[in-house]
Amino acid sequence: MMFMEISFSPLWLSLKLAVFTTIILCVLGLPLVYALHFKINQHLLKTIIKSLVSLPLVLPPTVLGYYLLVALNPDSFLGTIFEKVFDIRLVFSFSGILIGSVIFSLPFMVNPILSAIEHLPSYFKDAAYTMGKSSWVTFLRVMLPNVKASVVVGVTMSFAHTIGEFGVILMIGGNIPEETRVASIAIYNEVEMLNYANANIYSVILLVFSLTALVLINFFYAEKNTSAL
Amino acid sequence: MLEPPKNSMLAFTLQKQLFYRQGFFKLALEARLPKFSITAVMGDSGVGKTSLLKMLAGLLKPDSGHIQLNDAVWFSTSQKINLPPQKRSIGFLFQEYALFPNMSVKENLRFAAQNQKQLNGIDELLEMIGMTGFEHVKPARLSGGQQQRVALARAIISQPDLLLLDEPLSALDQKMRLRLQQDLKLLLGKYPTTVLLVTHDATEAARLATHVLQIDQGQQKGFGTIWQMLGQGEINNASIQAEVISYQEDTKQVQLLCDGKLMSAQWQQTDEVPKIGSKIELSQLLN
Repeated sequence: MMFMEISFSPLWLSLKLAVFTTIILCVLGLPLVYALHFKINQHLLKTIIKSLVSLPLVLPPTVLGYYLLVALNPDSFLGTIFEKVFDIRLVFSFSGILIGSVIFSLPFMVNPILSAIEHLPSYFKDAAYTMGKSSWVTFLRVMLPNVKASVVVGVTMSFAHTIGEFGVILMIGGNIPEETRVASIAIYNEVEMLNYANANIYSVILLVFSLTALVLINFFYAEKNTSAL
Repeated sequence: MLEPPKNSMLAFTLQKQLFYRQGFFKLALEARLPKFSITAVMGDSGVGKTSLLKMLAGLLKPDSGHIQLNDAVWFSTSQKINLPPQKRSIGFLFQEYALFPNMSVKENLRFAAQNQKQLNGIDELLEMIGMTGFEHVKPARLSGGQQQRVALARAIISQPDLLLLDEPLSALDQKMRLRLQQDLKLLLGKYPTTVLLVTHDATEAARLATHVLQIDQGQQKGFGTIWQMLGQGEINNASIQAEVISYQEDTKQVQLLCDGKLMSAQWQQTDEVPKIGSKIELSQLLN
């Protein structure tokens, strides 16, 4: 009965945000891993880019959210362009929290895959090169398939991390029902209104989800460690 | 600039500063390998044998030098040319096999093939190395010897102008070595090419190679035909044991390796034929 009282929209919104974020991260993250491993050879530049990618891991979400708010608000350069050209408002909207999520979850996609690629023996790359294969073909057909477990970890972590996001979303998206009120924000909202029972239901769902995701990841890591590679 | 003689296939002069346990040393090598020759690159560990293969393949950049295959310049400091590995016609057999774990035996060969004709030749190649029936097996499920044979087939399938073999037999037991040596001879008969073969083993060199390049601490100690380099052996102690390298049935000439030296002798016994790889006492040749 209690179950019927809660709105499902925050859960769907969280799911939609996580799916979109993960898809965008696959499209952006894999070429970024490729570029970092094959194309950017200058040590300092590589270090700076890797640090920027990892920054969301240590930065308070409110700081990232604040800068995004500054960068994307309708009076800003980017905000103006998006509003005038595409008629899209980037703050306090789903598009805004999607941009924030992509930036915030980027290290969860890039780091495990990059680390696995860097630990592959160099003779895989060398062998493919001597067969006349380009670095892109080598990446897609030799290196990525041999770090499959890390790709699964990257995808799962990006997805799970987006589901659990709070600070960035609150800063850039606020708490608008059906638009930016994702499950984690809904919990905060219910507690504010002293609806502990509802907060409890959302919390249990997120807890079970997060635990399942971690079990899956650990399962894949164990699988990887016992495989021949 | 190095002018290769007319019958020469591959000519190189290479200098490279390398680091090994004892510190830095300079690798300086120069040789002209005749077309379809098989050169054994010999020397202790860490003298730069693998580095030489990697420089020829374009996987390691020399500090200075020149690499030329027929008329094609692959590397030249004076002409500022450095072709990437993809543009050099090479086959490379790595010490670690380097078969791609995500691909089956056949997929590994398909990946290396450059055209339809080579793709069509995969089954024949697998038959030659006795791997028919293993097409869809992943490398992790093969023995070391089987993996090495597939890696060899993969290195040769594109019919490269230069085949580089980095200690292809070092990880194998005696029986597998003989098997792979036979496979290599068979494959080179079908796909003749110029070969560089890194090895520690004089027997292996004597069995497979036509030339020897000897390296010591990065310096070239010598380059010549196998007989120039290994063939100063004389039978002066009849009780010494020698290993049979090859036997010509028509001329009854037997080639032996004894104490790292290669020698040739007339086989006297009529009742039995010397077995390749077996040890015989030199006294057997003298009666």
